[in-house]
Amino acid sequence: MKKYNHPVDGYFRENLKDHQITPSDAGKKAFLSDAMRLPRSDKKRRKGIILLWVILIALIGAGIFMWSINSDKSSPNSANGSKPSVNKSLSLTHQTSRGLSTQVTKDPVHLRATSQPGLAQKSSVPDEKAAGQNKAAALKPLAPETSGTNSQLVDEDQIIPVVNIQKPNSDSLDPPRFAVVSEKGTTKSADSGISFMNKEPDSIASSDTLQNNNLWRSVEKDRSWMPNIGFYYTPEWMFNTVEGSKFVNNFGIEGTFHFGRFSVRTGAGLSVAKGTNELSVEYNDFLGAYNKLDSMKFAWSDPSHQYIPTYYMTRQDVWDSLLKLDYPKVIKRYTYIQIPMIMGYDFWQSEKISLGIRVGPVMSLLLTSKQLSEEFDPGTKRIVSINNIAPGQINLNWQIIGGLNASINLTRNLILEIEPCGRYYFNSVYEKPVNNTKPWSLGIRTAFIVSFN
Amino acid sequence: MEEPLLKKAIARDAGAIEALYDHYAPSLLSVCFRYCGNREDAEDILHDGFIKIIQKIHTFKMRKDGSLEAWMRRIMVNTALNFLRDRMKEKNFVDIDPILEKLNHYDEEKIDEEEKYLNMGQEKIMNLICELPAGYRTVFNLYVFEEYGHKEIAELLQFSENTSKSQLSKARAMLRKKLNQMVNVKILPTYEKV
Repeated sequence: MKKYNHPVDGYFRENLKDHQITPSDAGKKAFLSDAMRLPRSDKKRRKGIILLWVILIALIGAGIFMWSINSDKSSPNSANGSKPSVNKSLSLTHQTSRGLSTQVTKDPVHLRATSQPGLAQKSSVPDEKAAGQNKAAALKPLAPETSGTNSQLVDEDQIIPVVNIQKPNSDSLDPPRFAVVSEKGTTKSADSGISFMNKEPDSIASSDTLQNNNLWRSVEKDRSWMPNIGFYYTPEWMFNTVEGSKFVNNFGIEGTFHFGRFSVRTGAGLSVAKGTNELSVEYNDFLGAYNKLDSMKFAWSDPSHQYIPTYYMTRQDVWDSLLKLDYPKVIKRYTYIQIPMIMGYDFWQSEKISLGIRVGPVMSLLLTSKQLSEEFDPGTKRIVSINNIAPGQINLNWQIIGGLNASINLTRNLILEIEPCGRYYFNSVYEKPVNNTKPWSLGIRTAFIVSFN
Repeated sequence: MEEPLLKKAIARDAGAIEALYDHYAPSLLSVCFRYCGNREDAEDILHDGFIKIIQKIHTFKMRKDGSLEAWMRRIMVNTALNFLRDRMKEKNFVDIDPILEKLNHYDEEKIDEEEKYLNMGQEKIMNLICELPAGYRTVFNLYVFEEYGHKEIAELLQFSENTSKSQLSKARAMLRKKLNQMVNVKILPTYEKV
């Protein structure tokens, strides 16, 4: 609907269209001085800090990943493609059902490419450039292959596991003997330095199982860089705050990288806490108002022979002189994003449970604050003074967290972690610290972790 | 001119902020003056408004030329309204005396659409607005200069639409009367000479 264009409106609009008033120099100076002192926008700063943390975490993750890959390549025990994780230095001892000790070794010089039934893998060894190096060879089960013959010649280029079988008693007169299993299931003669003697089907079978295990381990090790990822919840009781003790809910997602007994845990979570902003207000009660006559003017109108009076009045409010005190409270909900960087060491490990300690810093950054109660409204009262008894909460704070971690393997891939922990805040949680005491807190972290290893 | 200046101001370049102030402060001070009615308060509002502008300038999205000035003006008007709210505390914007109201009674039905007023200079015209009671002045400013509707004004100032209409009507009547007084006195209300 088009607005009605009153002549008075048009007159004022037209005449004041380009009206300008030059501000005073003092006003300009005051503004420029204040403007230069303004902090950059919180949002931008917050985004910058979050971005910095994301980059830092990504760098750490990438570093761990690279380290994991490099250690796999450089380690002689490690899996390299389809290369089985056995060599000269690896010597596994397994007790057979007959009480014989079976030692399994494998010569890496002759090891080129192997595959296991049901685990077909092509492989290549970087330092071997001979023809046929990419040829897939079969690491066949030892027992059935070696049971029939003990002196058939095989191609020396074949990949050969060496099995050393010895009696449990050291006083045995039999010298150590070796069996070499070729691709075709033949064994090399004893004259060529490798032979198979004292065939023990059980021990051979168990050595084969060990080889299988090694192969599986090597395949699984390729995934060892992957973090365990899980969801956590930590109820936290905070002490030594202006409001007394406070309850805080923490929850989020975390990833843990394991290096043997050591671990690094990071992620992102939310911390939700209620805070009370308490004020001390001194005021005077409003009693009423009157119109005070400042001046009056009379104008004589000749045509109508009249005096036209004009009154100039201002409204005057009246307050009580008695000073009163009130303590209004404003309740807010503060949501922080938390980024931990927790280092861990497991001092006791068993198949099902492991115990360890966890220590590290946590950064908390204020995301939002929502007012749950109504804003303090003085109404018509005259405020004499307002003091913050408990101010609002700070935008950024740092904590150190330490705890005792118990990990329980619920299934092969699901882990339950329970971690009683304590926190110490490096700075006050309030915008303007009313005292210098720093809060501390106790909590119990509960997490369900999915393991990819 | 606006866009490069804006980019520099977002980066908190001192020169750009000063240039922004020099360029826009005179017209914005006029807006503040129209709302509060005196120079001192107007300068305070301008200061607070400009601080808000610098704080929020990164949120501004340039659409077309001139939109920056419109955006700044909106912030300034809001700052002025907050200032007036704080100053008056009560919702009762109308502080005119009933006697004055009776004296100023004017029948708007008799408006001559062709009515012409003398051009008396911007300062005097501005003073006419500043002499209005705060409530009338605020509604008049919002309706005439910011081109708000009565519904929007009512929501903004938290009173009814009818109050907005009534205050605008009274503001117009007072201004018209003052304008006419400067030319002649034929439409003035009558009082018998004692």
